[in-house]
Amino acid sequence: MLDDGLERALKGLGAEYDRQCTQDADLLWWKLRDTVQARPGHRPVQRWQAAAAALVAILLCAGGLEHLLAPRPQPVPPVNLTFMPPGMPLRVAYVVRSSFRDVLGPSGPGKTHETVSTIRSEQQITEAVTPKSQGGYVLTVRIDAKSASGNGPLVPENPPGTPAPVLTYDVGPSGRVLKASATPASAEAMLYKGKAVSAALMPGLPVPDRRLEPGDTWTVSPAGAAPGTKATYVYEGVVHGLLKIHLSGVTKLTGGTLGETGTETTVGNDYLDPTTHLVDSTSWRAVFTGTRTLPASGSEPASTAPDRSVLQMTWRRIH
Amino acid sequence: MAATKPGTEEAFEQFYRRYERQVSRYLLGMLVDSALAADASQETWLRYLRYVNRPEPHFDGALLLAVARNVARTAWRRRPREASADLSPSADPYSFENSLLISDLVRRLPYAEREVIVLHYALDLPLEAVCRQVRAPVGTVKSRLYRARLRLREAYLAGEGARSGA
Repeated sequence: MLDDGLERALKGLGAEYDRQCTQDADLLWWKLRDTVQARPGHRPVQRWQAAAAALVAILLCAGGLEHLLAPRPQPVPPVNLTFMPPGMPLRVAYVVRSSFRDVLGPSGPGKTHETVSTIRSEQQITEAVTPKSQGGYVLTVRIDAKSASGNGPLVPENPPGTPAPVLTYDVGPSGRVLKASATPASAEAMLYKGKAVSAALMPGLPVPDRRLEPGDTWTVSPAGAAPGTKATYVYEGVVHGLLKIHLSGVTKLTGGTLGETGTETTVGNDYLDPTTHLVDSTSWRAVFTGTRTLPASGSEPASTAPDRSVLQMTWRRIH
Repeated sequence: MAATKPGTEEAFEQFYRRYERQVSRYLLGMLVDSALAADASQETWLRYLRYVNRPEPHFDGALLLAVARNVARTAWRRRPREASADLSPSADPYSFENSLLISDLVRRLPYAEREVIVLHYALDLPLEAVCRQVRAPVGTVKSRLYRARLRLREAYLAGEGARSGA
């Protein structure tokens, strides 16, 4: 009886694995297709080519020519960055293929590290999309490889003291990459497709909750919000795939010039007892009790006395 | 490859659609961690693409599984060490119907035994195909299957004893 049950359960193992599988088959196909299309045609290696390659390998091992023979970066081809309709959960998925030896230290003489990975957490890659007033946006990608080590191939661990590479793509209204840059300069190799990064915003994937952080920028609206009154704040920072906002702690708004349209204030990182809900498909509202440090005029606060008014804040999707 | 022969991409897509689930099942079964398995799956397909990068590629499921096998072995050696989840069994003590439980018991098997269980049951491969895949004679595979089933049975009964004693 027990053995019958075991046999039955084992035969159901495939279905159970299907249920547990978190891989998005279509997303993977999308990335593979990109690889297939980018891959140049195969040509059989001639003997003289093999001999030349062996000679080059010997020279490389001897050192000295590595920098001369390093692949020349090529311009970034247009990357199809398409925003999904507002309200759809988005997640930025990156295909990372690169020789990271110049950036993150060698994995061996002349060896390259080629991999592809879907970014699952903000610890691995932090991306930010900042809309531009004239249309388009700036996509910033920060790659911190430390958290990726030991959890599947992304990039080799950053050597101690090495700054995390930051890649910046200036994307036009049509979705074309107008300019790409990288810091530090040695990270430029990561910009290039084939030995680089391509990115696209993918629909329908789970989005990690984003926590508000110090330095987030808010714009006061409407004008004239007085101490003790309700005010609506429109968040004009990075909103992508943001469906839910967690707030906790004690509210403290500092700096800025509250009450003036178009001016900015900086939100602290602590909030108290928020209730957050989805207003419609494009905006989110949180009502919470906060403490504001209000300026009398200008940009300098005249009083630091806390105002425990109830603030209403609305997050509106910008793009 | 698309540059070398028209229609290759379509052929590859058909191949991918046919084998994607098999690869996922195998890797999830061997690596027991869905995130790890997803990474390994991507790595498997990329490596396979490199292997078949020739003017007229021939897409071969056995080769793909062989690649997945190598990738899984490497990923298993490099995996982060974590305690397995404590899963509750089904209410029926004589049933393995609780799929989560059997999945958890399988993940505790030794690697070689787990592999034949996954190939034979999760991928539904006949014994001969399992032998080809693990490159072992049929007697060895049968023996591994037998030992694996024995272990599963003992593990289940041990767990049941612990549960009833608690």
